[in-house]
Amino acid sequence: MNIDELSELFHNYQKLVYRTAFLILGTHEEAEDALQDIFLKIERSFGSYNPAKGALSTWIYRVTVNHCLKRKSRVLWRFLPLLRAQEIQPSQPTSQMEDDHQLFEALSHLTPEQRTLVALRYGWQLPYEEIALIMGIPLGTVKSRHTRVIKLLQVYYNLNDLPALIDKEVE
Amino acid sequence: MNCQSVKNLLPAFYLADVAPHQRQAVERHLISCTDCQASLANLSAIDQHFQAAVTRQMDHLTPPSNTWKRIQAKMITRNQKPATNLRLVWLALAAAVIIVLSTLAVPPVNARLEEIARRWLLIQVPSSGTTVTIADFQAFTPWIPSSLPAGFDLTTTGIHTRSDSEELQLTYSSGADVFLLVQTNQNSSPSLPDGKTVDLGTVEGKLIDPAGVVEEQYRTAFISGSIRLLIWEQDGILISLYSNMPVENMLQFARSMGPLQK
Repeated sequence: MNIDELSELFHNYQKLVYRTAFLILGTHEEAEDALQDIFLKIERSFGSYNPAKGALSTWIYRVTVNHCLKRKSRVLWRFLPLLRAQEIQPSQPTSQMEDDHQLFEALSHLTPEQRTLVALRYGWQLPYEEIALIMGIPLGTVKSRHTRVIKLLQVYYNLNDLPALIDKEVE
Repeated sequence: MNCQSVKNLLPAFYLADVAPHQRQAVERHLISCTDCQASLANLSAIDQHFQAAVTRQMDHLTPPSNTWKRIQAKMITRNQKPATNLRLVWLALAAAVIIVLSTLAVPPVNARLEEIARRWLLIQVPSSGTTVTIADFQAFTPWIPSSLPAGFDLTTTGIHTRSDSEELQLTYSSGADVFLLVQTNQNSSPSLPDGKTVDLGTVEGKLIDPAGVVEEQYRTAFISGSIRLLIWEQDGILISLYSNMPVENMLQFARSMGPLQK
C-alpha cells in the first residue's frame, strides 16, 4: 500500500478508529497513540484484508478492537470521572456535564470487552452479527455480554438516581 | 413465573434475547404486574439515556489535526533500511569524530543538544534513583514532591496536550494507595472549587473530601477508601492532588513540593 492510498484510508476512517479507541481506552492521548499505531498496522497488513470475508470497515473495526484490547491501558479508570470533571467547558449546559460525568462513571465499572461492546453497539449502532465478526466471538456471547452491560448500567444508574436526571430532562 | 424470576429475565427480554416460551411467560406476567412493568420501563429509560450520552460524547470526538503528519514521520523512520556491517563501521567512526569534536566544545553541536534537553523532563524514580524521561514537554516547569511516604514510588506518567494548554499527570503509588498529581497551565483557569481552605506553606489550597466516594460494591483492589482532592494554584499552574491517603499525608505531600530542577 502506498502513502497516497493510506492517506485516503486515514482520512475516511480516522474518526471510526479514534472514537472507538477513545471509548475503549478512556483518554484522548491513549486514543491518539492508538490511532497512529493502528494506521501503521493497517499499512503493514493491508494485504491480509479479504473483501470476500467482509466489508473494509468491518476489517478496520477488527484491527482497532484487537489493538485496543491487547494494549495494556495505562489509564486509571477509577480516577477517570474525576479527571473528566476537570475538563470544564463553560459553554456546556450543566445537565450535559452531569451526563458526561455519569457516562464516564458508568464506563469505569465496565471491563475493556464490555466497553468495546458499548463502542460498537451504542457508539456505532452496529448489528450483533457484525459485532460478533469484529470481536471474533459467537453471536450468543455478544448478546449475553450486552445483557450483562444492561444489568450493570441498571444497578449503576439506579444507585445514582437516574430517575431524577430523567425528570430534569423532561422538565 | 414469579416477580423475581421475571426481573432476572427482564434485561434479556428487553434485548429480545430470550427463548420463545420465556418471552411468552414474561409477557403474561407483565399484563398483571405493575411492579415488573415499572422495572421494564426503568430499564428502557436507562438504555435510552445511556445511548444518548454515548452518542453525544462520540459526536464531540475529533482526532488531533496533526496525527497524519506523525504517522508519516513514523513511516519514514521505520522504512529506513537497516545499516550493513560496513555502514555500521562508518557510522561508528562518524560518531567517534562527533564525540571528539563535541569534547573540543564545538558550540553549535552543544547548543543544539542543550536545546533538545530543554524540552525534556527528567523525573527521578525515588526507589531506584533512575530517571524517567518525558520528551517534548516545555509548557511549564512542573512541581514535584521532594519526599514520599514509605513504600511509595513514581509509577506512571502522562501528558495531555489540548489546544490551549498542557497537562502533566504523575502517579505515585504503593500497593492499593495512590497519589495522582495532575498539573495544567490552562489559560482560563477556573476559580478553585468550594472546599475547606488549607495552608500549604506559601499558598492556600482547597480540600474537597470526598472528591468522589466509590460505592462499596464497585470498589476494586486498586482503591480502598474514598478519594479526596486537594487543589491549589502555584506560579500560574493549577495543581490537583487526588488520593485515598489520610488528609495529613496529602498535606505533607503537597507541602514537600517544589519546582522540578532541570
